[in-house]
Amino acid sequence: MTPAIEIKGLTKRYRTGLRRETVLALDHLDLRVEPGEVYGLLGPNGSGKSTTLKLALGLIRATAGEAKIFGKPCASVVSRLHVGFLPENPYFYRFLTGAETLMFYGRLCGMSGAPLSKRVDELLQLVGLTNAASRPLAGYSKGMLQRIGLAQAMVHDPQLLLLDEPTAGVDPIGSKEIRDLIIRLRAMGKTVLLCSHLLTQVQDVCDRICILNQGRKVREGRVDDLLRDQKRLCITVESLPEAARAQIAEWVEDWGASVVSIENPQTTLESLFLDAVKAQQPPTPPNKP
Amino acid sequence: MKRNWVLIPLVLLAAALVKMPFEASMAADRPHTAGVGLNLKTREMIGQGMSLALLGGFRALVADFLWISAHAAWEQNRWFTMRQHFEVVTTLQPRAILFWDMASWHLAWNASHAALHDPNEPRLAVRLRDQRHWMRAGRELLERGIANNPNNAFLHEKLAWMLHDKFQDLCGAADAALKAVQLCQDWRRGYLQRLAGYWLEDCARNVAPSRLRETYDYWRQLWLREYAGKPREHWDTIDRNVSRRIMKLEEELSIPDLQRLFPKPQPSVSVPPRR
Amino acid sequence: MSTTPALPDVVYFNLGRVWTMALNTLIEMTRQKVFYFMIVFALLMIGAASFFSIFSFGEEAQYITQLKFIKDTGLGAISVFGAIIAVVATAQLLPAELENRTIYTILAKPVHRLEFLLGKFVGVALLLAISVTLMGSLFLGVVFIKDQNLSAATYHETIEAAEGAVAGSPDMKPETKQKVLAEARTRAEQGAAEIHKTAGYQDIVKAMTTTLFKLWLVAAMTLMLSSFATSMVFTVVMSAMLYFSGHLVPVAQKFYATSKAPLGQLMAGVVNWFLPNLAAFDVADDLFAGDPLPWLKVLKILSYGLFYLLVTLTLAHLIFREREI
Repeated sequence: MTPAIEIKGLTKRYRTGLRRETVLALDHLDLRVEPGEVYGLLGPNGSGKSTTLKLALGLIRATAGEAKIFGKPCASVVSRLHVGFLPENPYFYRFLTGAETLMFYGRLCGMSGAPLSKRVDELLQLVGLTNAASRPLAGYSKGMLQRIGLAQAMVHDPQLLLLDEPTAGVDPIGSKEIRDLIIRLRAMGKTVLLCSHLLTQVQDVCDRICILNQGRKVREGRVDDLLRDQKRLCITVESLPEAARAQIAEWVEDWGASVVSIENPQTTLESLFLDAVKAQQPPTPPNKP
Repeated sequence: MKRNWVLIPLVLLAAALVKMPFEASMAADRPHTAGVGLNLKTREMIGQGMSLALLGGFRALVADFLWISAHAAWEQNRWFTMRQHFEVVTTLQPRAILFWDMASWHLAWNASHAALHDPNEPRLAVRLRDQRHWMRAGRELLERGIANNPNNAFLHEKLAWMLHDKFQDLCGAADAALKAVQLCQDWRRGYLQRLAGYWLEDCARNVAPSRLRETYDYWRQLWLREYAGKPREHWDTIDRNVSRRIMKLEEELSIPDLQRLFPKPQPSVSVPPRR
Repeated sequence: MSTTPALPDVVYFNLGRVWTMALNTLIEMTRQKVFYFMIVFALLMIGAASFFSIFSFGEEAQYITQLKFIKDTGLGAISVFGAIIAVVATAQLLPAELENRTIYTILAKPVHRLEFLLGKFVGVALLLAISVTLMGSLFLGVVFIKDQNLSAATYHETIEAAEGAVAGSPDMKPETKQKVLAEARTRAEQGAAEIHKTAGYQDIVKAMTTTLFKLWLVAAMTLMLSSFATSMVFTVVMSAMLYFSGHLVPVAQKFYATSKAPLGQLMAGVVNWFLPNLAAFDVADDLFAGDPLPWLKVLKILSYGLFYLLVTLTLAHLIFREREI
């Protein structure tokens, strides 16, 4: 099967300033994203994540190597027929309303008339902005902008979505909603490539991840495989009496292993926050009719 | 990136090759634009071009405001200020006929008259010299206006009047008027044609007798073109006036009877005027 | 479940997308209150119409001066405001797109860069066309009113003078009276017609049409500059310089032909060979001086404008195509 994204030996060297100094932003990157998977591109700022996305979208030109989307070279317009892109911290035309924004991007994708209006309504519902559809974007919050950004990326129902820091700067609830959306997209059979430096948020949604640093691939693989510490085991039990602990420790040592820690598991701050906020207010489903 | 180093110069070159004949053809349509094609001094042309470029669309409006200040200077008899404004105004808008006309009139008539009657200057010789100075200034300005607008009948006519009234240059006035007739297309043509004839005749009778034949030919052609064909009983003052002049010239120049427009009445046969 | 879409080999250039971009650009600029210029223009026109009527210069035909001043104001303001809109509005198009990152979302769609660029240009061109039309209609309206007032005044003055003369001579024969009055009417009509002619509506329309093409060309040059410029100030300054030099092309031509100084000749040659002759679009002075310029020749000027639009936009496309965003 043709990979959704295929990158071979991709190198990008930026020239800075007037002198001949160059910065190597991407160094012989190889990458392959299969259709239907959610792929996370992780790394610190300046590691080459955005450069990779820009190259994949044909916004900049590679110094060496090649990138293909669904088998088409990235410089061609054809390669973008089935790509949706959400840039980092997107701003849109402030004077357009949510619906107008989606109409505009839809028209750029060659859609028009009733199918476009229908699609726009669908998308607004999908990202939970039906109520804000006729308000100009100037009045949107960061999370709403991010969601309208996702909607515009999906307007032509592309098979591949490229998301640059989709949850950056969004509050935990918004971030959760966006991640739920990504999971839903995977269920719909879409391929997603997302860039992030917020590692924990990526953890639950990505099938595979790649860690970039200084333009080079450092790690790549399935999230479970990468995170699983093969030597260590964690058992979570409930209502274990204090006395049993010592016994278990002894038993473990009989097997020649050692106990590293015995402690009460902590919930994540995020889930604590989500539980607390949800208890405070009545639930508001994102796609209220 | 590399491609552009070839393509961009190529496009520019191709554009230049099309541009030249295109512009030449446009310039032929409009020979007087920005003084190009006229034999203006380079300095004058660059001045016009610069003002065109720098003031852009407001050039005409700036000229209008300076015109108003020139007018104020006239009302206060500040003649030198007025003249300076005229210089700038006509440089800014060399195609505004009104400016050349009015400015040269102010200089040659008003300023020169004021100089002749300057109450602060007791010496007549100086006043006369100053009068001539302003008249010449007016004439120079008007002649520059004609250089900028060579096809404008009105400015030639104004020059004719100036030469006639202020300089008593009868032949110069006649020539300028003849030029105006050549260029005039509108209703003034009828009057200009006669004016040129009168002044040409004045020139021939008072200054250059050799031009008497030219005068006759001029009147004759004018008569054949404009007046002939009207029965004598319908002649008005103009017809009678012109016909009298022609008859007189025919006598003076001893034009053979057969070639005359108005042959001497023969005792026996009456010949109607030829058409 | 997951699918690999079947993709065509090529996506063709599409005017629909250009139009979508153009309308979006137009709306964007409209909401940036570009049309405030119109209010200034309206005030200027009305001000000029009443201001200049208080001046009298002792000339025979006052109406010539009055109409000239109004026309100078109107055409001058249209040309200057238009040039400001053409340069400033165009210069900020690409920087604004880059700053808002909207250009990323647009070019990430199946959109050709040429479609994007042309869309931006057509948007500005529409804005300029609307502006010139609005200002021009207002301007023509003011000229029309002035024309009506002046010609009506002249007409009545002539008639009244004749009636006065007739009334003042009681021993005039009735048929002579009729003749005098009839002659006065003819003269009054001629006078009024002369004023209508001086108003020169067709000439104004011609001048505004060529001005609009000049403004389009200026906007295209600005877009070309901003397709490689990294700062908006650079674009505006360079555009202004091109604007001025473009008006100097005829002078450069003459200078090139006559000058002996090698450096001056080189500079004049560069201007002469590579810049469009913007002065060619300034036809108002010639028209009002009485040089006839039939529509066919106006058309030649317009096609010169179109030719340079093509050249300029081609250059802009070549540069923008290679630009890293």
